[in-house]
Amino acid sequence: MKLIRVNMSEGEISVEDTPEEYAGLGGRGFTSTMINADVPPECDPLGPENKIVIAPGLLSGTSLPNTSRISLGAKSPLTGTIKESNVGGTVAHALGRLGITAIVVEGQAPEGDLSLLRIDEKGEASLLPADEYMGMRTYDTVKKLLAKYGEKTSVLCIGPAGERRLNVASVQSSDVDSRPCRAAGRGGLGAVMGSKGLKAIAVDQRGKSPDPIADPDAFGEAVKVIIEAVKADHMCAEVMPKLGTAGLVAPVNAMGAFPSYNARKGVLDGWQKISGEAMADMIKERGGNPTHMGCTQCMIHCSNEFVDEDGKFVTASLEYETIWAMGGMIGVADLDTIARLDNLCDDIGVDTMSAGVGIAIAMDAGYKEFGDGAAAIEMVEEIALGTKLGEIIGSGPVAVGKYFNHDRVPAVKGQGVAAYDPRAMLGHGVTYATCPMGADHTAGNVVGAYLEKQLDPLDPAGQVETSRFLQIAMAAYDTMGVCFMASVALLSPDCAAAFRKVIEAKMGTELGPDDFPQGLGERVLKAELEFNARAGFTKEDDRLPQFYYEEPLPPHNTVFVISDEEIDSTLDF
Amino acid sequence: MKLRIRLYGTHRERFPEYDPSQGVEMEVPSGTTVREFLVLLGTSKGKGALVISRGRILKPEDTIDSTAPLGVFQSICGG
Repeated sequence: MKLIRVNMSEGEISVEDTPEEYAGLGGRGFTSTMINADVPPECDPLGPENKIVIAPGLLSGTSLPNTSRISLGAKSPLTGTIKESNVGGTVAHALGRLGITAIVVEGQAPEGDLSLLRIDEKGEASLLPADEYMGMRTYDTVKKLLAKYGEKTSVLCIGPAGERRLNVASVQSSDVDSRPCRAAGRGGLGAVMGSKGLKAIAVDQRGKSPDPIADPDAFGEAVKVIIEAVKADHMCAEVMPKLGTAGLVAPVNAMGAFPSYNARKGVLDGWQKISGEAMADMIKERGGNPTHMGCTQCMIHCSNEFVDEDGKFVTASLEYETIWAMGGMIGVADLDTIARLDNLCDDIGVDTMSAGVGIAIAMDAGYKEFGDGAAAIEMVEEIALGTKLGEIIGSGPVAVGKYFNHDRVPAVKGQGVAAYDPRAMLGHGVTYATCPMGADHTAGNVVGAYLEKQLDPLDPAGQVETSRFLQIAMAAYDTMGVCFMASVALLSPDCAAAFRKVIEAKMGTELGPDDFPQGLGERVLKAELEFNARAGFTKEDDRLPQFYYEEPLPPHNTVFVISDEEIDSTLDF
Repeated sequence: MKLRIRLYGTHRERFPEYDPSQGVEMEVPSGTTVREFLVLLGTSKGKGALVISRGRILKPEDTIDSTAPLGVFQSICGG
């Protein structure tokens, strides 16, 4: 287990054994623990005191499928809180195969310097000048890096938005086809990477020195059980390969919870045209690929390759949250426009969700009409061009609201909400309000509990408990590097027990039933909450915007009704 | 009674000629519950089937209302 420290102030790299206190931690558990321990909570997120910690999951690089998530952690410039954003692709597996627990990027390069971190097949790291990549979009950046270092290279990189240090800047990750189309989008971690003067990390995929597995036989047996559990899960085995996450467009609209027209309605007019079913049909008719493998060792294949009418590649992968942010929120019921916006955001290095929410606020304020897709494309292009409006949208939803003097800003702690309206799905409001990282769609996604009929989305009973359970579980699985889809297939007590055997075999330790996911998840959340408290956040920050409490959402015409006391009990460990 | 149903997810695959704009028509006895309806439709619990009507997920014991729009969806745990 080794840890690579990159001091951008000095341009130096050091390699050390991973400290003992981080044993058993990868991914989000690693990044949040280290940020809480080593980053001054009141520091400038874009200054030299902040760090960006990049950690593959504990199980990334092993033979366990669906463990290709890599976590990026820092103090967020968008929210001011601790932040972890994880992303798929190929780099987590590549680092895992090199036995690299984490990369810690600290300090700050002199203004105007831009570097590239290269890690070769032996795990040797070097910091190289990246002037030739300055201002470059992500697709060209990856193309050029692969031409230099070979096809077997995984890339994490930022685009112009990250170099401009904009709050909605993403870090893009290359997929199995070497396209930088997977995004660590939330929280503006691309801006943190840009502030360090780091354009990209290029990792050789041919590493052969992963951390040893304590009990390989037991590990192999435990992996078989997990594979069978994922295969037996209808969502993972049937729905995701055929529709991807876009399969949610239909049921969430049918339930009146698809935030549309900047959350003025719960149903988008013409949502059928942007449903997962419509998308899959369109991709098939045009000769694209509706069932695409985006991440190393994936057995679910929830990705897709969206093509235009001539069969030419437009983007991969068009997913639910983007279809909502660049569709429902801005009143666009056209997949071609949404796909174009998705690709543009990936290329510029921008979070589709934050950008979409920002555009929706601008439209709601009267800047443009809802449904004007061409205007939305122009607004995203302005982010890359660095115009005044581009800078405002790139600064996040709250900045857009201030600029247009518009108070309907659907954000918590500065981060825009996700594709589930909390007035029609109360549990999502609980997660948005209490997640240590601002409104988040994966931290405690309650939609499955509604669709599985375990919980009534409009009845306050059980919402807090369900959000708490899911937030704890996801913090634990995010630590392992397991993708969201596989994680939700493993939430039952039986599957959690099987998963404990995987960890035990990997680490050579014994875990009690309370250690995973409960114990680990709580430990990670406590570190995150502790950081936020030291940064000055209080319970008063765990609130939804006022309009959710006052403005009924059609068609149910309900408001958010969970009390502050109940909200405050959610993560009161 | 006659029902007109919209199908989503992989439920559509049971009807190769399925037209999303029309849905499918189905005859069921009056008083049919959601549980019985799903059996008649040929879906099973393992397929994560759910029926949504007028914005609400119907319970297995609810009686099907032929005058209300009906959609048969699949459970997905997040995106």
